[in-house]
Parts: sequence; structure tokens; C-alpha cells
Amino acid sequence: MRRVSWALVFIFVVVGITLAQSDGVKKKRPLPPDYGKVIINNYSEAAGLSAVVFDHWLHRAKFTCRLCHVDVGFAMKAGATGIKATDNMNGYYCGACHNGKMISEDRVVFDSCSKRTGQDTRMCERCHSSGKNVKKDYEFSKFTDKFPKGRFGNGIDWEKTEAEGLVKPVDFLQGISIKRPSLTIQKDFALGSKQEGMPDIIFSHKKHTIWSGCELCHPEIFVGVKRGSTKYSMVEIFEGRYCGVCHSTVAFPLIDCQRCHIKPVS
Amino acid sequence: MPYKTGFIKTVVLWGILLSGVPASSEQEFWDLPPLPEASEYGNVLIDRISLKNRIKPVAFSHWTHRQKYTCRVCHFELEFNMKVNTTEITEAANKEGRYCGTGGCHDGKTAFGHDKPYCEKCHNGDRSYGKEKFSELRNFPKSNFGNGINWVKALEKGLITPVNYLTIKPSDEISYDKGFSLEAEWRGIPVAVFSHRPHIKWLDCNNCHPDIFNIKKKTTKHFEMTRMLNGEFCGVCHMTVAFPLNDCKRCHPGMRE
Amino acid sequence: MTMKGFRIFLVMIILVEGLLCSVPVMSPSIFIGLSALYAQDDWKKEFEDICSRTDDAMILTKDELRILIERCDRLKPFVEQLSETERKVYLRRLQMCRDLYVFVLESKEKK
Repeated sequence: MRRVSWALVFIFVVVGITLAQSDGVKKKRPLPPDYGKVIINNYSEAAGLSAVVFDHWLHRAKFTCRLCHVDVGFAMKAGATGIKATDNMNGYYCGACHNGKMISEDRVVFDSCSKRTGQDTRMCERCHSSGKNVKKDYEFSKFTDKFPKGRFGNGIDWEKTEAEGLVKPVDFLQGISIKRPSLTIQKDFALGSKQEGMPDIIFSHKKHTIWSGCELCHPEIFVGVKRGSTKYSMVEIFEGRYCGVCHSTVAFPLIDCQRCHIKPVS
Repeated sequence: MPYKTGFIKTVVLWGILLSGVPASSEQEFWDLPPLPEASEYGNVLIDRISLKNRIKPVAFSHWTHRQKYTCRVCHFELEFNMKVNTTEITEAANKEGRYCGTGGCHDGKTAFGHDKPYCEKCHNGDRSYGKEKFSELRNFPKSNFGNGINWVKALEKGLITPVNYLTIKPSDEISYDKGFSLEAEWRGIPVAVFSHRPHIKWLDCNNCHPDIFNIKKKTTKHFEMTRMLNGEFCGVCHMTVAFPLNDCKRCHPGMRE
Repeated sequence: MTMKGFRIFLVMIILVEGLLCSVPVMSPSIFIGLSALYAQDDWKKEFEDICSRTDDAMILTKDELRILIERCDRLKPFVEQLSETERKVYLRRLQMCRDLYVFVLESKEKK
């Protein structure tokens, strides 16, 4: 009897270990329009609606990361903000812009979770569109047609697109954003690679602060007080921590090693 | 198979196996799939939506393409997936200049484009299409399995000069060539020797890491032959395109014939 | 009351006044709210004032940072009394801005 129970334990352990490890196969990459897509489903299904599908590519062409993730207050992880319909109706979160009053590119931005819709769920489906075939106002390839192309992710070089003025992301929202003195310039610096043979990483604060604010990364994502005191490696980054918070789902993906590992090995 | 089993159990299990299977070489223990003809090895039939649209499936030949481009170009830069029928290639995408139709490939200038009268050059449903051209490779260094060609040696000798990038030039700084030995899961099997060097000539880091082989130490575990035969780990390439797993000595140099 | 007694009384009044006011010495560039009770829109003005320095926190002195952190702590109980949505939004924003000041202060202290 004891042997049988030990055998069972052994089988469970082996199966558990086998299931827990990586698959050993290539993961499928999302298509350019799907890169940066976030599904939000805290309360949608309970309310009888499909989950919300949020596309980063459209919003990042119009607004900086800082505006939404610092000023408006969205969390960095899908579902962590806990947005409710009442929040939107009261002009917070999505409702900060999607309020039926804000003008963007000569158009009124449709209101989210409006009281007007009543029983008509078609209005709701503009955002609550998971699994539904909803026609969007903006089509990816048309919208990004003139943008400089890049490999991977959205297939767009967003850095260049912004530098060339093809997008002018808004950084300040009246009534929500705080007027701040401008950012003090931080110098670029090198981060040592832990793997022998891999070049060091040149990190540029300047490139990041065009889009992001200090409090977005510090200390939530990068806790270390002094450079080099936060010990991490590619393992954690691939798991979606540190640089991987943005660079595995929204910003240019991690698969392009030499985008960051560019310092010549001395 | 239990991992590193005890002595008595090993003897009992080997006894069962040896008595049940009239094997003379290790190869016959494994359920290795039958290999196609040399000229057909690495030829892939792509039928994600072809038949649905009443078009013959596409026959893609790896040996034709690998002479001109390294694995990196298609599987890293152009983002073709490693598993057939999982890349969303469409006529529209090709005509837009993505996938097969990328500038510098089948764009109508460098090579025939996705247009009439060239449909049948790909959409022929015939895995042995282009067989007659295979004899052009008869002077290449030989190998016993797969295409019967040692592609690594062919590259080293300069018999082929495949392009290694289209727009993303691989950094000269990343020349990772570490090698190591992997202990076999079964007792009695010699170690497998892995070297990065021949792989990085064809592949980008991202082709394998971190999806196929996790870079975290001691986390890629239990990748036994059975998993490779299932198309995982080394089997992603070394079942259908790179030299097949039948070629034991290429990885287990200590293996007896 | 004698003259001496009156003088002592005067000194004591002044001392008590000083303690009650509790105005700490600080750089003129930072305004400080004297009361922990905020009127309807005052809390928002206070929030905006505190958190307006996140982008140039690196040039602030350690004392200025400590004051900002203190102000965040004083504002927090009031934010917790707001309506559900406002509480959710502003607690997070206040926390982010406080954490940044702590981060910058620590980096200055460890230098």
C-alpha cells in the first residue's frame, strides 16, 4: 500500500515537473496590428458584455505613455487598474478623454460607458469587442502607412516616427495633468551584460523620457537606488519584469537583441 | 523513462527492452519517422488556407532557399514561424511586401512575384517539385542523412554564400561560440556535444532563445530524445530541415555504429 | 500683576504662539499648507503642488524632498475620504509621486 502511494506521488511529481517547464517550441508572435493589444476583463463579463480590447498603437500615436500611466492613473498590467463603468462615466480613466466632449483631430471623442446608451449595446461594443467582429474607425495599415517601418512588434519605428514629427503625442490634459517644470536631462549610461560575449547595453534616459515619466519606472519597476544595485538579468526581463514590463508587450520587443546590446566589447 | 534510475531497475528495464526488441543499434529503440528522399528532405507543404480557397497547397523547398539565405533571414527578420501553417501568409501580405513578397525576394524584380503566370511555381501541391535541380548539388560535401549534404561544411568551404541579413545586420560584437556537453538521460549513451558556433552562422539568438531553450540556468530540463522526436527543442529544426536525428554521431560523437 | 510678571507672561505668550504656529524654516521655493484640513478644491491644489516636482526631483535638496514626502503623508488621509473613483485614482497618483521622492532621496543619501 505504501509502495503504491509512493508510486502515485512519484507520478504526480514527474507529471508536474514535465508540465511546468517550457514547451521547447517557438512561441507564436502577434501580427503587427495585434502587438500591444490588451484585454481588460475585470467586470465586463459579469456585466454581460465582452471583454474590452484596447489597442496601444492607436493611442500611442496620439498620447504619451506618461499621460495615461501617470496622469490618468492606469496601471502597467492589464486588469490591475480595476476600471468600472462609473469611473468612466465620472470622467476618470477612459472617461478622461472618452467623454463625448473632447476634440481630437476635428472629431469628438465618443463617450465611454455612457448613460445615453441604455439597452443599446452596440455603442458598448466599440470597446467591449472581444470575440466580436467590430468595425473600427481607424485601420492599422492606413493609419500607419506613412510611418517609418521597423522590424518586429507593430512593424513601426515609433522612435523615428516621433522624431520626424509624424506623430505629436499629447502630453498634457487640462484638469488632469499637472504643470511641471521640464525634465532634468540624464546622461546615457552603459549596463554591464552578464553573459560573456554579449555586448553591454547602452541605456538612454532621453529616449525614454520623451514618452514616459520618472515615476512610471521608479521605483515600481526599477527599485535600485544606485546604478547597478538592482540585480537582474535577461531571465527576469523575458519573464516580463524590469525592461520586460514594456518591451515584451507594447514597446519594441526583446527579440531584437542588438537594439540594446550595442556597446562594443572592450 | 525514469530519469537516472537505480541499478536494479535499469537492468530489469534493459532486459525487458532487449528481449522484446531485436535491436542491433540504438536507432531502432526510437520511433524515428521514416525519412523522405534526399531531394525531398526539408520540403514543406503549406496549406493553411490554400485548399480552403481552392488553390493547390504551396510546396516550399528549404534546400533551394538555404543556399541563398540563412535561417536567420526568414525565421528572424521576416518572422516566418518555425511550425508549418502557423504563419499568417496571405496573397495580400505577399503583395504588400511582407513574408515571401519582401523586397529583395519574391517581389517581381529579384525573383518572380506573387502574380500570374507564376502561381504553379509555388502552388503545385507537389513535395518533389524542383527535384531535377537537386543534382546541381552533387559536388557538395556529403552526409548520410537528410539531404545527403553536409551544409555546415558547404558553408565553411564557401561553396554556398547565403545572405545573412536583409535590413538588420547582425552585430559583429555578438560572436557567442560557447560549447558544452550534455549528459544523456539514459545510462550507457555517450554525451551529446553542443557547439554554438555552427548554429550562429545560420541563426539569430532569438531563433532559439528564450522560447525553445530557456536561458535561465538549469531550467531546460528533461529534453530527452522523445521530446525532440515530438518536434520540441532540437527537434524544431533537426527533424525536418537541418540534419535529422537519425544522424546520431553528429551530436553523440562517442556513439558506436 | 507686577512689571516682571507681565514681562514673563509676554515672553510665554510669544513662545506658545511660536510653538502653535510651528512654521519650520525652509526654502522660499516650496509653499507649505499649514493645515491638514483641506477645503473642497484645496486638496487638489495641494496635490498638484506636491506632485509637480516629479520631473525635476533630481535637483531638489534632501530637505525639500523630505518636506514633499511629509506633505504627501499629510494629504493621504484626506484622499482616502474621497468618493470611490477619486480615491482610487488619486491614491495611486499620490503613491507614485511619494515613492519617487523617496527613491530620489535614498539615492542622494546613499551617494
